[in-house]
Amino acid sequence: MRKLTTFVALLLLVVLAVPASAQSLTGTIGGMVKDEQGGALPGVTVTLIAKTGTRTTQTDGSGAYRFIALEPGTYAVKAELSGFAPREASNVQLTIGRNADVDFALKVGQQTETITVVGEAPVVDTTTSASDQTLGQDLLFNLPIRPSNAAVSLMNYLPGINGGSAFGGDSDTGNALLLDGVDTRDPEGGSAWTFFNFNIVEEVQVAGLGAPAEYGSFTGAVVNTVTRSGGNQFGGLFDVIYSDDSLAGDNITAEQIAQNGALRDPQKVTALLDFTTQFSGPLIKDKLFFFASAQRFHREQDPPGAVTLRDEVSPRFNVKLTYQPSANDTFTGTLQIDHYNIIGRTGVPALLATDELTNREDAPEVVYGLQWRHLFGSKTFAEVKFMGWSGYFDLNPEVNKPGHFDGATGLYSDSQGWYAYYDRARNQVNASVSHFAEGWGKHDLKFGIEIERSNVRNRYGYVNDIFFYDYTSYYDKGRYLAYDYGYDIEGDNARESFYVQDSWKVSDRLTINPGLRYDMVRGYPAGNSASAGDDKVYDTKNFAPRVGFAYDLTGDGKTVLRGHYGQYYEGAFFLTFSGAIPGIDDFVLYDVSGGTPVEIDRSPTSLYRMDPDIKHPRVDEITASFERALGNDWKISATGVMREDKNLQASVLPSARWAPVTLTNALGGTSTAYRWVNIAASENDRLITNPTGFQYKDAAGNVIGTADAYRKYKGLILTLDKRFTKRWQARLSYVVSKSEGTVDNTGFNSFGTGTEFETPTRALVNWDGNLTNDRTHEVKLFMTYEIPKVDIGLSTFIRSVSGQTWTPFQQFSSSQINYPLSSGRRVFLEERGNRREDRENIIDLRLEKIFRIGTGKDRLSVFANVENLLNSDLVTAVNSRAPNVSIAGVDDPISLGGPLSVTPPRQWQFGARWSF
Amino acid sequence: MTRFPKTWARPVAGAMALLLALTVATPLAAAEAPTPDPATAPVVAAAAPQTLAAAASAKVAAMNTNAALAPAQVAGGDDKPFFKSKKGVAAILLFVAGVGYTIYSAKEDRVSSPIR
Repeated sequence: MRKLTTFVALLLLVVLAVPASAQSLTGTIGGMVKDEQGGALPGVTVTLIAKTGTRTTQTDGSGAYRFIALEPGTYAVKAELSGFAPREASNVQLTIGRNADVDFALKVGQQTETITVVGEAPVVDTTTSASDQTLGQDLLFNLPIRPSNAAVSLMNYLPGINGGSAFGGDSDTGNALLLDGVDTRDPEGGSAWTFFNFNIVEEVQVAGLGAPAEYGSFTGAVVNTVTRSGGNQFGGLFDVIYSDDSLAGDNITAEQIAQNGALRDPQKVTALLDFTTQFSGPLIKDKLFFFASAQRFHREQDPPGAVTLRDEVSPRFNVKLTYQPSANDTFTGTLQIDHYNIIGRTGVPALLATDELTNREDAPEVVYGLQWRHLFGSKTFAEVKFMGWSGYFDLNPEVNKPGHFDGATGLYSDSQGWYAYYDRARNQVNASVSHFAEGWGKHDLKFGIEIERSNVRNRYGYVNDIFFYDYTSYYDKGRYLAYDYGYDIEGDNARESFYVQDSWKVSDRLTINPGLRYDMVRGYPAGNSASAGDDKVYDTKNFAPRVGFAYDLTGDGKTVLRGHYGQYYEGAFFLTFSGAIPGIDDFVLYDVSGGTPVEIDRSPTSLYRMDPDIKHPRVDEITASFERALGNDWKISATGVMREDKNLQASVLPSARWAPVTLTNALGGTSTAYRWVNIAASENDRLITNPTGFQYKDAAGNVIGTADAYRKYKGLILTLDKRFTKRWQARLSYVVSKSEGTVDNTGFNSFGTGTEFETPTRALVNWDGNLTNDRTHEVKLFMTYEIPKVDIGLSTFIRSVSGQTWTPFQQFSSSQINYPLSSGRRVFLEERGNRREDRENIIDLRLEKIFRIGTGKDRLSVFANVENLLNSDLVTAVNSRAPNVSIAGVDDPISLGGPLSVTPPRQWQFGARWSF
Repeated sequence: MTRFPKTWARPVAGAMALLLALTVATPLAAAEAPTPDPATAPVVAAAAPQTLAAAASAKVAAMNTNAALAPAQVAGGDDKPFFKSKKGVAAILLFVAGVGYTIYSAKEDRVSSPIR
């Protein structure tokens, strides 16, 4: 209660002390009004027509006008002056955080003769140094597949992002996932926690390259998702999609089955029924609007291996209320309630699982947000947001009995044997002020503050506090040993961030984007007040400067040259300090050969110390780009990116001493490893730190090597965009890049829980090289074409991406190198990332027949999606362990490089949608 | 124990129920509301687009002659008797049915963790 009281007090303090808002999802429409001779026209009445009503302003002495704090969407703008014919620009598209210039040239004439043109924002923005990408409604409506998790799936459509790894960053965990400004990531380590309905998305912006100071808490990309809202006109969307077993292909080849018999069963969807029902409109015209959506997502899958069913039912509800009591105030409340109900999650290695070795997931959550936006005239506005979410995610065994693992056969039996409970909550207050000023050019200034508190609790244990390790070859009863282990750890994250940024238009052609962000990130054990200050176990303070420019090369708004330098710090995550939090039980070993468990050993788990000078992970980034409009609808761009991760964290063993040993390896050569020579004296001395510069020593104290924790990315991104006009649109991109280092980019690798640097056997042996998500060549094409007269839309998404890298390793025995954990005995036999999986060539397709009703705004369609049109048999994971690995239930061992998983086969989905 | 869910779950659930009730009730109430005056409808919905792109600013130049696959644009005020129209009745029936079934599913398909 004390914590909540403190939090509410802090919230109020921010609301009262900060005159305006926070991270904005809004944009600006502005421009100049002139007469036919080019003379500025002051006093022109300019009206903005939005779906929630109209706003009016007048041009100033220079003929300029501006509408600020506008939600992304479509607008119309009308200019009127006595003696001139009114002029109106319709269909002005505004995307997240962007400005649209709408200029007018008024002709002398009658005021009754409104001239309307269909306006579109220019394809090139010459006023920002950021190189972000958006997925607007035109693209989202035509995507050939339906992502089951829009939060993380949509970003993979964009260049430079594959498998959730954005520009070489940590897969998934490096990306900030914002839903209407709510950070929906797991506060433990940054992976996606909240899934949401694809159909509620208004627009998605993926920022990260050259992002201004208002964006923080990421080292990969920011996925900024804005959901739909209501307006003066009633709107609706009713959508259903279906698939089943008979609509799935079989892409497993005879060769793959010969290499791994457990893959015989393709990874297909056996039943899918996903519907959305959505409604929006006015409660009070021009004042109060609602948006409501309900989705029931039901999918059954037959995973590879012996498991026959994975069944998910997820109901989701979304409500948004928008209230405009005056022209200057907007209040928005959002709420999402959802529940993941999953039966058949595998609880042991996937290819070894049977139905009884699975678990059930119970995972409800509530996401909420309140926002107040206030306009102080046409130059200043403020926003205050309170937002957050809470939920849990429990995994209970399908069979509530102790589990068994047979060391002789490699088989699990009876039950997965364990349970896990994960509780999460995150609350955040954002406040910011945006101000447009003039003086030495034009300024778009923004000041903001963010306060975040989040809570993580993890519990794990074995059913009846025991898990059996059988060995049926040697023991008649099959009973041999058993063990117990578990944990209950809980901690709180705290973050306060402050930022200031400017978009300084020095001249008509040059814009400079300076900014500074300051993050204070702390971590506390459970039950301690995040604001008390004296019990924190993690404490970092971080300045992140940003500076960039955009220069209109040709002066006509069609060609821009951009450059940017920025530092981006990670968010507040439990994994940065969780190793220093108590709550891990002893590891207890039992002899059960006599039938009754007899304790024979007990090993307490020692806590890690935190380096008091530890630094928070960040990425330093330099970007340079060139963008050129080709006509009104096309643009080309080239963007160069250099990124380097700094302050990567991991644990080390400061008192450990090592002796090199040479071992014969499975590839016919020899490998150097390091034997831990003083384990008894040093095993309890564990430290979480930034390992770069840490020295590994031999028994005499001589340095045998130095840790270097680094990750670098270099990339060149080429794009060609055609926006939707004349019945078609396209986005073609090519990326050539290199990701290298000693810290992988597969997720959860940047934080203090990593143990890879504890032993020189890992840190000094072939540890430097190509990272797993080093996707050298990437080509993506998204295209939509609507066939005239028949109104059939054809959309495709084609990707051809270099495969992930992998590295052969051999797990030596503890007797050889005296290291207890198996992960520390895995020696890379070649330089990291020396081998690569096959190139990923996948085509998805959508066919849609559109029936137009009435004025054309109503749209009824039936569609067919096909994923993996060519039924590719792409291997998505290989066995990298040498020598060959035996899998229970499979006669022949899996050879080095043999397949462990294959991409899902071709699958058809059929659906229908009515929207208005 | 997780503090936030226990502290907030009940009021948040109550607020959600209220919002949902409002959402369902409002369209029914709105059906009885007076018909908006066509004269107040935004111009963009009333005026027929003219091919005068050249007269507009260079920055608002492109003529979007076919935005067929793009979703609905700026809302107008042409939903006069919306809930008395066939479309309105169909929409509300579909919506209520969808919400109702989802609520039913939320209860019936629930996987419950024994410790909660």
